[in-house]
Amino acid sequence: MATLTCRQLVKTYKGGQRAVDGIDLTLEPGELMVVVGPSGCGKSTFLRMVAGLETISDGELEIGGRLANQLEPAQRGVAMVFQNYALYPHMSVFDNMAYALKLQKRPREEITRRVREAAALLGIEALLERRPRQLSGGQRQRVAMGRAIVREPTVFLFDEPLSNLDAALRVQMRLEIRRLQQRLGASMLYVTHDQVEAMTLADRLVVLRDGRIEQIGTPMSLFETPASCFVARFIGSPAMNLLPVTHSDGRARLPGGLILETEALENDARETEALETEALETQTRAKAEPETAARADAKAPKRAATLGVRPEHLRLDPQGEFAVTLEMIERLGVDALVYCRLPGLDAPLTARLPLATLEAAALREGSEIRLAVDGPLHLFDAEEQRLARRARLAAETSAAQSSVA
Amino acid sequence: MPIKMTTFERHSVTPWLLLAPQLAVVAIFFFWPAAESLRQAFYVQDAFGLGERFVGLANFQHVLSSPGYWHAFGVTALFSLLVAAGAMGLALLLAVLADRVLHGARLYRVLLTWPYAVAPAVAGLLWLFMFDPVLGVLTHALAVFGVHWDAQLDPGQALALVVIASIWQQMSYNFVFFLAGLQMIPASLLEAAAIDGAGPFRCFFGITLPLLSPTAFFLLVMNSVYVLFETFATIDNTTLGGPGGATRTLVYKLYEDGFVGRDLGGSSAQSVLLMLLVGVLTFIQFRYLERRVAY
Repeated sequence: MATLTCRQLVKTYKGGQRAVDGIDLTLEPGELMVVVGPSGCGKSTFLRMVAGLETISDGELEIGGRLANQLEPAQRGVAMVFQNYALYPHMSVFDNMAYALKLQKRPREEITRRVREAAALLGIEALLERRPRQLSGGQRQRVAMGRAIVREPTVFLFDEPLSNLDAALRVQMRLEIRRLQQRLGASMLYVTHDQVEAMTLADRLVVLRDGRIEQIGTPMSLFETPASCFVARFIGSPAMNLLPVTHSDGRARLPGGLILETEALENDARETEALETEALETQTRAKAEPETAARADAKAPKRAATLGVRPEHLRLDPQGEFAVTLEMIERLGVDALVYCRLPGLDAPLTARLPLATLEAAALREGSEIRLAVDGPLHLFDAEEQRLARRARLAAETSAAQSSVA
Repeated sequence: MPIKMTTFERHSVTPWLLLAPQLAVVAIFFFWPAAESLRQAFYVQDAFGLGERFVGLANFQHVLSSPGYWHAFGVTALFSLLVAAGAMGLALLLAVLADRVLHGARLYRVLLTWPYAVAPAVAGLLWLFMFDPVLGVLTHALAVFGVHWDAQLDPGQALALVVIASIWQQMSYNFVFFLAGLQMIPASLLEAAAIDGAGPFRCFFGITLPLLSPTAFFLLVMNSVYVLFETFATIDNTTLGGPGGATRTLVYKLYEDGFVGRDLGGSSAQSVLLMLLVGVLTFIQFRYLERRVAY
């Protein structure tokens, strides 16, 4: 039985604005699901709907097998960790953690035992008598988690819990949350705008955009096969390079004249079909008049598309397909980010190269270099949806240039 | 900082010139009279103000041993208690309600702060008319319920009249502070309490009220000071301290003794005692707020 199920969950504000627009998802027991998206995508609203802090306009929410649409927050069996921790400032750490149990009128011994257990788990036993304002950010974060743990909820809800911490502490707390989740076997719904946090924590990742789910999957599946340009841009750091191309009969043409040959994406039936027909026609035509193939290619219906390649999948190669001008280098230690410009293109091309290679080639800003693709290419259609899973470089740059000429 | 210092060093006269009007006002209308009354507290004057004689602490002795002073003290304490409780309770209720209003919130807030802009004397008159034994709207309304209202004869009703007028005024001031205090409480705290299982009442008494306690204490002191001084005009325009001294507060007695009875020494001694009282209140307030302000 799923811990939490959402069916077409909708949040409509007065004036018809839809903050959450039909979310379907299932949280399995013991799963840590991260909801990620840019600010304003509806991820916090969604979490607050699950918590019962926002009413549900439409759809169904089931928690622990019970329909929870109309339940009070306290009856839903959820515990929430807030961005600003929301600790009660006039209560000691102990009282903060015990508050829910006191309201449930549990016996005093049980309250003490459960609070002490949670405190031991988080290493905050020494802080129980203190007030929240006497604690550091990381300690407050732990107390907030302790308050959630004490309640033994069906689902833990986290609303950007680490965004008030400094970078070092954020990494530490991230690990701690993960460790805690595995130890408790807890089901967690975790909202963040930080894609690194999302990638590292999640069992499954949900990318939200304008109140809708853009893609659900494991972090690696989203990284390897983003369903859209949006996901491609959002997952992975530095972001995937997205280059505008024109796409026709299975080929992607860059403004610079480079032509890439693509395979159809299997799971996109419509596009695949159209693509195959086109490819077949081109092939026939190419066979009939090989010398005018390039011109026929130019006449075939062209569609705007976007080509994606991750910075990690570019390497320095004197025979590389992309002839670019190096504009800037950011040294990260082992690697360096190299920002380049493709002639005739506004969008920059970023490559992540080993620093050693860079030094060996004595590259600096302004150098003319060539980059080769050393990994998967991604092709997205005019609606920015995934088109082909793999694109293979086909034509030589020279041939492409001749066709342009 | 160094830049500022040199600026002031070079133009040492200018800041004083700019401050002069304000300093003059404070000196003439505050420091001088205060010093004068402090001096006079140790003298006895004749009724025409032509001569005076140093008497040491005799004025204080006289004031503190007179039953009239302690009666006024009692009236003031009761008055303070009623006004503080009434004005703060009402203001808190209104602030909680106004805090929940989503539409036209600004309008409500402005309307609720208006009474504070009315001068205490006018406020007194307003309520005097409404509670007039012959013409008063409220007097007639009360008559329907069988209450015979005449604040000029009934001591309890006289006190009620000035208490109501003062509450009506002070409520606005308290409202502004309570509303600000409520809005300072992060929404997530109340949400966390809701998830923890606290209903609206639990939430209010368990979370909101404790967090408002510094505000409430500040207001308690401010209301007491208000009753000590500001209510003079209200009383002077309605009950004139009567009937039978039922509304004669410390400050009204001071005025009566000094400006009506021409006992300048005795009245000065009373004003010094009043100053001490306010000093103590202020001291307590600062000590308390220092301890509790940093939530």
